[in-house]
Amino acid sequence: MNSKEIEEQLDQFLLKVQKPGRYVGGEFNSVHKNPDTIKTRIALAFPDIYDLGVPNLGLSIFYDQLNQMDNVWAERTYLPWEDMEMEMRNRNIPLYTLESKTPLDKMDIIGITIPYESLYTNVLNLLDLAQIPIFSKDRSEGYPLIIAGGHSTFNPEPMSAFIDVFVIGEGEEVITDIIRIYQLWKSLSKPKFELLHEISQLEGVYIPAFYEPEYHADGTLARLNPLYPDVKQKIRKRIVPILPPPPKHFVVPLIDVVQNRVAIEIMRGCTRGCRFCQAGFVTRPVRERPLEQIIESIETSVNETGHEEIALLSLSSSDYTQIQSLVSKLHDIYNKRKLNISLPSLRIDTVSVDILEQLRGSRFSGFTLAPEAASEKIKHTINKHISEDQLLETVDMIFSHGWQTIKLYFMIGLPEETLDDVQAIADLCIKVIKIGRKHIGKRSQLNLGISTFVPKPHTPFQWAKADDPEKILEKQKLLKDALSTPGIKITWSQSDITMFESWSSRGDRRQSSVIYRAWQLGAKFDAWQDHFHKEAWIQAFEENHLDPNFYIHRERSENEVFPWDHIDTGVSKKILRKEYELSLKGELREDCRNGCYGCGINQSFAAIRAESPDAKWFCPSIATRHSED
Amino acid sequence: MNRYRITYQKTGPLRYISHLDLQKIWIRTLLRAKIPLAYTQGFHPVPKISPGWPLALGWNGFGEMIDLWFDFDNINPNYEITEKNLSDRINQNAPQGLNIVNLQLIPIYSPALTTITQSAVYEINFFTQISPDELRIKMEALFATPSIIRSRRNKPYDLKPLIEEYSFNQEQDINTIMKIQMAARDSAMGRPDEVVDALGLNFDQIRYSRLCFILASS
Repeated sequence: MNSKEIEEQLDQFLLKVQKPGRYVGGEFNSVHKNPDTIKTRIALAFPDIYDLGVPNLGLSIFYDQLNQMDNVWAERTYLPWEDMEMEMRNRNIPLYTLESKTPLDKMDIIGITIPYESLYTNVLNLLDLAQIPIFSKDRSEGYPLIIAGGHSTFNPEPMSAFIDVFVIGEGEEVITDIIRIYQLWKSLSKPKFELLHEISQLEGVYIPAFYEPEYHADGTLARLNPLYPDVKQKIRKRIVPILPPPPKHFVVPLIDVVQNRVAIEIMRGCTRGCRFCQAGFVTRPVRERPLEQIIESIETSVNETGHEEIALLSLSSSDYTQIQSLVSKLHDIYNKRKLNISLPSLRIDTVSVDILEQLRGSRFSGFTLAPEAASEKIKHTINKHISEDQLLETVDMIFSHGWQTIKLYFMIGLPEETLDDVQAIADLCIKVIKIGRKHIGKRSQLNLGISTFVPKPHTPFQWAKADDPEKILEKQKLLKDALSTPGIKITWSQSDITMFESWSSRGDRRQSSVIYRAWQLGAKFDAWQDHFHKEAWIQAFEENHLDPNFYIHRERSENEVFPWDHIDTGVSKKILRKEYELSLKGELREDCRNGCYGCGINQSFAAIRAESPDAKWFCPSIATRHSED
Repeated sequence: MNRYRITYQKTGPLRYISHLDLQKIWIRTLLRAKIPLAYTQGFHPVPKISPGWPLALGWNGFGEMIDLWFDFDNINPNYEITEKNLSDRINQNAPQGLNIVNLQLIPIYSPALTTITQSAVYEINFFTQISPDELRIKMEALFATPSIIRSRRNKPYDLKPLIEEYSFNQEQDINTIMKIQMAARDSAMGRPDEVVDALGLNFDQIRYSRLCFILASS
C-alpha cells in the first residue's frame, strides 16, 4: 500500500475511531520534505499512543536535530490505540509515518525509544503492524535498520532478539555517526552484515547479534561471548561532554495530549547517589545548561509553539547551581504573561517553597515532594536522607501559604525494610495532615503515592531481591488501615506491574522468547493498568521453561555475572557493590559533588573531558582525585 | 480592543480535529503570530474568542467563521496593522489545513455569530456511486412527502422545513454532487447527513463540505 492509498483508506474509516486527530499528522512544526532530495529516511517511533509519544523529549530532540540535515528526513510514528489497530489490521493498512503516510517498511532506519520496560510488547506490536519481521534474524537485506535507545536499553538483553542496533547512553552524537555509516554503506550496496559491523565499531553502540551468551547450570550467566575478534567486550555508554542547545522546534499537537507543554532539560545527571535510582547512576556526569541558553530557549519555544506551559526538567532541580537567579529571571520576564512554569524534582526545603511561589501560575494548585522513606533506618539504606523536621517545616510553610494539596511519594519493599519502617510512613503522614488541618482545616488534602521498589540494573541494589508479594500486601494493608482518615488519598503501584518490572528490568537474553510469546498471547500496552495480561506472561514463562522468581526474588551473589555487565555506564561495578554493602550497614554517603568517592565516571570519560576543557562536570580534575579504594 | 470576523478554511488533517480542540489551535496560532488576544475579565481570564456553529468531524469547511478580539495596545509598535498583514501573519503560523480567506473589522458590540447565522450551504459529494439523475429522482420523491420525520436524541422532528434549497451537478463535475442550503439557527439546525440518511444512501464514501454560512443582514 502506498501513501496515497493509505490516505484514501483513512478517509473511509477514521471517523469510527476515538480521537482520529492522532492519526493524521499536519501539526504545526511537523516537517515535510521532498522525498526526491532525501538520501536517508528515518521514522522516529514511540511505542505507545500519540498522546504519550508527542511530549517525549528524547524524540523531540532527534526530530529537530535530524531534520536540520539536508539529505535526511525524520518523520514520526506512534502506536495506534486498539480500535485503530483493529481497523488497520482488517484493512491490511501498514503502520505509516504521520508526515507523509509512508509505510514504515519503506524507511531506511526506524529509531525506537524504549524509556521503560513495559513498552517491550508494544515494540513487537509496532514492528508487526509495520509488516516488518519481528525477529532481527528474519529481516533480510531490504528491511529498515531497527535502532533502539532510551533508559530501558541500559539492559538491552531482553529485547536483543528484535533490535539490530542499541544505542547506549546519549544519542545526540551517535545518531549522526550511524547515519553517516548508513549512507556510505547504501551507496556501496554491500550486505547488511557489513553495515552492522561498521556500526559496531562506534562508541556507545551494541549489536546483540554479534554476541552469544553462555550460562551456568544454575541458570545464571557465565559470560557473553563476542562472536568476532574485533567486536568490543564491553560497550561503554556514549555521552556528550557539553549539552547541546535544546531543540528549537517542537511539534505542536492538534489534540490534547498528556502534557501540553514545552520541556527543557536544564541539567543532566545527578550527584545525590540515591541507591534505588537508576537514572541517578546511568546519566552521570552532571552537566548543566547555561542560564542564558535556558532563558533564550524558553523564549524561542514559547514563540514557536504557542504553548502556555513550560517544564524545566532535571533529576534534581535544586542542585542546578543558578536555580535562584533562573527563577527570579523567569519571574521578571513572564510574571505578566500567562505562562505556567513547572519545576519538578525540587529538594524538600523551605527554599523550594519560595521558588515555587515565584513561579506560581494561575493554575498551580499542588505541591509534590518525594521523601521516599520515613524511618531513619531506611533513609540510610537508600541514601536519601531528609530529616523529619525539615520535611514538616516545609509542609508547614506550604499549607500556611495557602496551598491546599500536598502530594508525597514513598516507596515500600526496600531492602531491610520491616513493618516498623512502614509504620513510620503512616505516622509521618498523620503529622503532615495534622499540620494541614491546623492551617486550613478540612480543605487540606494529602495525596500519597506509594510505589513498590524494583531493583534496577546499574544501581547498588542490582544484587537485591524484590520483596515478596505477600509482604507487600501486608505493608499496603498497614498503610491503608492507618491512613483511612479524611483528607488522605492513596494510590498504589499495582503488584502485577511491579512484578513485571522486576523480571523485565533484570532479564537476560532468554526473555526475548518470553516477550515474543506473551505478545503472541495478547500482551500489549502493559503499562496501562487495566491492560496488563498476567496470565499471558505466566504462560509465556512456563512454555519457555523459565521461572519469573529466578529474576524477581533471588538475592544475587557478590560475584554473579549480570546480563547487563557488558554495558559500561562508566560507574564501576566495584563501587556499586561497595554502595550496596554500605546500604546494608545503614551508612550514608554524602552528595558526591562535595567529595568524590571515585565512582569511575571521571576516569571512564577522561578523554572526552580533556577534549572539552570548558565542560563543567562537578567531578574533581583527575590529578587531584583521591580514591578510597 | 478590536473585534475581527474571520472566514477560514478547515480542511486536510484539520477535518479530524474537534470544535473544542480547534479553539485551542486558534489561541496557539495567535500566540505564535504574536497578535495579542484580548482576555475576559475576572479571576480566570480566558482569551475572547467566539466561534460559529461547529462543523461535524471529518467534513471540510470552506467558509467557517470565528470572531476574535485583539488587544492591539500590546502589539509591537513597529508592526503595521492591516487586514492583509494580519491574515498573512496568522496563516504563516497556522497548522496545515487552517487558512484565513477573509478578515474584517466589525463593531465590538455587534451580536454573536451564532445569533445572526441563518443558514449554511453544504456540498455533498457522492463520487460515482450514484448518477445525478438517480439522485434527483430520489430527492424529488423524498420532497413529495408532506413531512420528513427524523429523530434526534430520541426526539422526533421534521427535516423538511430545514431544507431551504438544493441543486445538482455542474457541467464540469465528474462525480455526483448535491449542493444544499439548510437552516442553521439555534432552534433549527439542519444536517445534510440526515438528508442523505433519509434518502437511504449508505455509501462507503461520501464527502461533506460546508461551503459558507448565510448571515442575517445586520
